[in-house]
This record gives sequence, structure tokens and C-alpha cells, in this order.
Amino acid sequence: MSDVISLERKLRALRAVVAPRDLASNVLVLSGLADRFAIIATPLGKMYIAWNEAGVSLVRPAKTAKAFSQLLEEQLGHRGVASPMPNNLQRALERRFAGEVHVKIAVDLRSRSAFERSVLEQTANIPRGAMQPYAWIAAQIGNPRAVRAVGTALGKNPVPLIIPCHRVIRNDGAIGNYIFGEASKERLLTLEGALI
Amino acid sequence: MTRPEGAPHPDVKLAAALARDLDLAFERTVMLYQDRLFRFATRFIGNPLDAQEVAQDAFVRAYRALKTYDAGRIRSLAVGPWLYRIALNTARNRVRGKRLTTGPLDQAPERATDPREQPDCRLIALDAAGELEAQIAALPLRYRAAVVLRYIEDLPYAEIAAALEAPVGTVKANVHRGMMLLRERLSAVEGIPA
Repeated sequence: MSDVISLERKLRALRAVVAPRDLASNVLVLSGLADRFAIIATPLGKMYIAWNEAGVSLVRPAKTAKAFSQLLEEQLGHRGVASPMPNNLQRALERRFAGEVHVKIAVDLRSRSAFERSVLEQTANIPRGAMQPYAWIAAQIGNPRAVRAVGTALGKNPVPLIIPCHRVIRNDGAIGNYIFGEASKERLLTLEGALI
Repeated sequence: MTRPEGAPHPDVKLAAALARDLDLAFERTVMLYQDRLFRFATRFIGNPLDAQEVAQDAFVRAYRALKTYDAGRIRSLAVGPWLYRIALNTARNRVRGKRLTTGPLDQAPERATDPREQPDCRLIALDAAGELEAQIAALPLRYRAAVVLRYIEDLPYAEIAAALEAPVGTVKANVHRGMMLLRERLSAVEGIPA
């Protein structure tokens, strides 16, 4: 009988196990409830970039990681998990920002409507050094009258710089609005050689 | 683990929260059960590296399943036993598929030790705990699950039966048989009293 009690006591002593710190955050990321994020240098300065299994989900400047997490929650409904960026993603972003054209970067546009996705996918086809008017996007996606809606969709681009919404300008040739301000748009277009 | 007689199981509230807002309550579920599922997987498999993957996979499977359930089905879930069942199936698949990782020694699981123990006694205790862990991991699967859920997870027989989808009588028999095997095997190891 004492053997039984002794063994039970020893088994109970094996309870002192605590889950690794990253277990919960890994689960949330793998379940699609959280995105990982890190900070990276871009042509417009340092920005936070979030990503998940589907691709890059959000690119935004923020003062702190906490502020970026809040943005992530507001815009995508996902929790943010600060993490080191995978090397392949980091290299792809650096090459893209340095001006390399043929660098594939997966993006996650699942939070966007079908219309917004088609606008963003069409915008992704505008090559570096080129510009297209809002009306061109509208025509390309088969909605030639939806010019204003195209502008609205681009204004909500979750992944600017990766999907180059700065290459879309007004129909009258004016530079137009940009998610990070008109001056940033002009700077990017100048860097890319689209504006002389 | 014990609660006042007649008091509702805490899982009832959790199941209701999951039915109401799955995404919000799932995070709470992970926080509540992460230590338990990781510990169960660690003791069942005997390797903390694989245990982390098993626990993670189990939670993700649980979430994906919950996404397909209607609110009524979620409300009726006994969350704890259901999660243990998923973890057990995930762990069992791993053990059978032999997709186990050999981890470095410094990542071996933390063991409970009494800080007041003398160093020599502590060494002996660690050896004994290591032997016990190894013998648990070497038990046949049905006895191993029953013993770990009963004596390490401290679940009542009814919840173990729900987790293992077996009658309570069978669970009791498997716990008893598993404990007997453990005692025999520990006694057979020189210098390790059972």
C-alpha cells in the first residue's frame, strides 16, 4: 500500500511543467488569429510589417510595437506577435525596396472585399518607373465607372510599397492622394524614375 | 482540481464563451489549457520538443474543428476532456509515426525538486524522476494515457473516460494495470525504489 502512495506522490511531483513562452502565440498564428510582425527599413523610413501563412498582411509606420499591434487589431482583427522576420522574407523585401523588379512577395488580401482585391491585384501589375490613372485601373477590372471606388480601395491598401498604389495617379495627371501623404508619393515616384 | 459539490464545471462557462465569440474565447482557452496540454504531451511522449508541437497541433486542430461546429454543439462540449482527447490523438499519431525529435539535454523538461534538499539527495531524486519519466513513456499507450491523466493531470475518472472515450470501468482498470506495470518496472531498476 505504501508503494502505491509513494508512486502516486512521485507522479504528482511530475506536474511541475510550464508551457514554453511561445506556445500560445504560435497557436494563435497557426490558427490565423494572430500575425507576426517586425520592423524593417523601407524607402520611406522604418515601418512595421506584419505577416502570416498567406503572406504580408499589413505595412504601416507606428511609433511603438504596441501602437502597431492596435492597428493590426483594428484593421485586420488579428493580434500581433513581435517576432524575428524569416530570412527569406527579409531578403525579398530588401531587394524589392532596393529596386529589384522580379522579386515575388506573397501578400494576404483576405481582409479586403472582392472589388478591393481586384483593384489591388491590378495595381500590383504596374511596373516600376510607370504610372497609371485611377480610370485605367477601373477599366482593367471591368468597372470603368468605378473610378472613385478605385481611389477608396487604394486608400485602404494594407500593403503599400509592396502593392505599389503610389503608381496610381489622378486622371488629369496630378499626383493625387497617397496613404502616407502626397510628398511621400512624389518621393517614391522620383526614386523609381517615374517623375523627372 | 476539486470544486464544491454542485458547482458548475468551469468549462461550462468557457464553452458558452466559445459558442458566443469563438475567436475571442479561443485565446482564453489556449491561455487556460496551454500548461496542461503541454504537460500531458511531455509526460505522454517523454520529450518536450515534440510535446510543444503536439500541444500546438492539438490547439490548432481544436480551433479548426470549433469553426465547423454550431453554437449548440460548442456549448455542450466538455472543453477539457475534449482538448485532452485531441492532444492524445495527436500525440498517439506522432508516437506511432515515430516522428520524434531528439532534443538537446539542456531542453529537458523541468522537474519538481524541493529546494531544501541537499545536493546529493537532489541528484538521486533527479535520477529517480528521470527513470520514472522514461518508464511512463515506455508504458503501452492505453495505460500511459490513463495513468498520466489520472495522476499527473489529476482528472477525475469521469473526465478521463470522456477524454479517452472509454467506460469508467475500463479507465479504472487501465489506471490500475498501468500503475502495477510502473511499480514492477521501477522495482526492477537497481537502486530506484518504487
